[in-house]
Amino acid sequence: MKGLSIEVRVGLMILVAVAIAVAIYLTVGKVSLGSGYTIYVDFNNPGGVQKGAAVQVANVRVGQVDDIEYWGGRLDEKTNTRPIIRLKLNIEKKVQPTIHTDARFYVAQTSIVGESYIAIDPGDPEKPFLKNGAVVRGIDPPRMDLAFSMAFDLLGNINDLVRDNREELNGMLTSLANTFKSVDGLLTRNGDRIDRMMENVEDITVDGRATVKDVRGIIEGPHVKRSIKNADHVLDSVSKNIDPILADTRQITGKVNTTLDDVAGPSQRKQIQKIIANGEEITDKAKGLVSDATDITRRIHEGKGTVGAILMDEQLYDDIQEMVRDLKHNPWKLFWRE
Amino acid sequence: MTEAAAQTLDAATDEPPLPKRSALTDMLGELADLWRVTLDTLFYTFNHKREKGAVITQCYAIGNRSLFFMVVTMGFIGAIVVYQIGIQTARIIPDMSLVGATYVKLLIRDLAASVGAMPLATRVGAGIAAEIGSMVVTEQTDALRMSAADPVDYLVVPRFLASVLMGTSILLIGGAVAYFAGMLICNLSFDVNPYVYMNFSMVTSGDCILGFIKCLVYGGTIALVSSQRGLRTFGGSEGVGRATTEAVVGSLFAIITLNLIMSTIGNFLLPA
Repeated sequence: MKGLSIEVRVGLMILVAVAIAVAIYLTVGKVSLGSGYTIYVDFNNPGGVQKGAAVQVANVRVGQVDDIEYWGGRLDEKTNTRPIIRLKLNIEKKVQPTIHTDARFYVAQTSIVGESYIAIDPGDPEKPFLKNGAVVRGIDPPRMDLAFSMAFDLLGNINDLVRDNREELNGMLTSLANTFKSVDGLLTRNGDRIDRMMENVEDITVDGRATVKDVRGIIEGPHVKRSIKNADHVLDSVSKNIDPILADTRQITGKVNTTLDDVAGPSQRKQIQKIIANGEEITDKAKGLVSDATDITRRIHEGKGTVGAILMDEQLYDDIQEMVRDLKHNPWKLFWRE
Repeated sequence: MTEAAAQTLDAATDEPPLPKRSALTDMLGELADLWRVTLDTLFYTFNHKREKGAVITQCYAIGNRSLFFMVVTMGFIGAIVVYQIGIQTARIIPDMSLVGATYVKLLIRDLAASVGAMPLATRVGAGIAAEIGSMVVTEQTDALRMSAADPVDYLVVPRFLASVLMGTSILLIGGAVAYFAGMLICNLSFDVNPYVYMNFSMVTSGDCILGFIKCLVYGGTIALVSSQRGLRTFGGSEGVGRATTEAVVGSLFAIITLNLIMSTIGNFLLPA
């Protein structure tokens, strides 16, 4: 430095200052030396996003918010939408092939109290990429102001509830305290029993686990696998053949219908119905006859009536037998009375 | 010393007693004189040719000779400010991720220019006032006037131009030093990753413009106030000492007053 002239020394110092100024301008002014393309994103409320905010993909800065336009629900004739706020994003050209038509644009923050920025979820790589000047819909951030407002209302309601029902709440809390006290006493008195119960539960759990393991072994065993394989095979066969079978069935059903139509026309069907009606009548009469016969048989079994007396009274039978025998020996008795 | 002896000493003094003036009159007179010097300086800046090498010599004296002092001072100031910010931040939310971002915004918008201008005023302002004051008390300025050269054109303008140029440069360099000193302290004391610290996301173009304007204005102000005090020097070496002190005090006062004005206007035109 000692050999340098005053002019050079001053020049060097100015050069350093200019370099610092340029570095700040490039860094702070967020000036990108590469070319970019534009995407418009519509929001109802983009939260705390400011002009110049970062645009990031996977936490890597790829652009910035160039402008924030207030549309206030006016009709955009190009897209036939009514945006409220439209953000103009300037994104690096090299990123364009990675941001697709189903990409999602949402507002994120660097930390709880940090700066808001636009985060992009690039979307499905199979879909085409967004073109320069495309207009997309962004995902609105949660409205913390509304949440706080609702929380404030809720707290007000709770306050009113507590103030209006102070006595009931006191009673409830006293009851709750008594309940806890009772439960505590119960637990203290039955500590050993509860320990045993817990041990039993633990044993049951262990057994259950072993059972589940066994069941799993069975399920994962070769037999079940074979069965499932066979079932798969059957299902596969059925699924393969179900269409022809259904087609055949439909064909057969059609033929049966046709045959029935041929065999039994409208007049035959009426006769058949008449025959069926007669049959029903005959059946009813037959039922009556059977009922009468049953009644007669029952009376005979009971020895009622002449036939019953003849059939069921043994004395009479013996008398008749004696009489027949006597008539065989003395046939004349038919004609002559002693 | 008896009263009689004091009267004898007063009688022996050749200079007439100064007329008694109120503080307000003094201040208004100083402001009017400063305004006159400012207008003359601006006039000669755009209407007269400089003596060859005059500005460069002043640039070297004001810029390069102040560099070491400014670098060390701003380094310490940056480290202290960041350390204190870190301690207070840790008390509120123990999250240091935004210390760098907030500090650089503060530095660019205000601290680098306003705080940096104060040590610069002590170093440069005192030098300018002492130089010009010495010329005044040794009647060199009268010689200039006799040669039809306006002392403002001959003495003030080169210092003004050099101070604007080198003051801005040195404040930029000082700001950068303060920033990196803060980064070092942040890393050593609070374990903040330098990449996390180097977060410029909160800084806007408006901050840069306002900070840059402040650097330019402070550089010019230091030269103008100090030159005006130097030109108003009287009373020999004692007067030079008084002029030097008044130059430093006046420069600091001007810097703080202008900071208030520019920050207020800046908040409307270039909001943070």
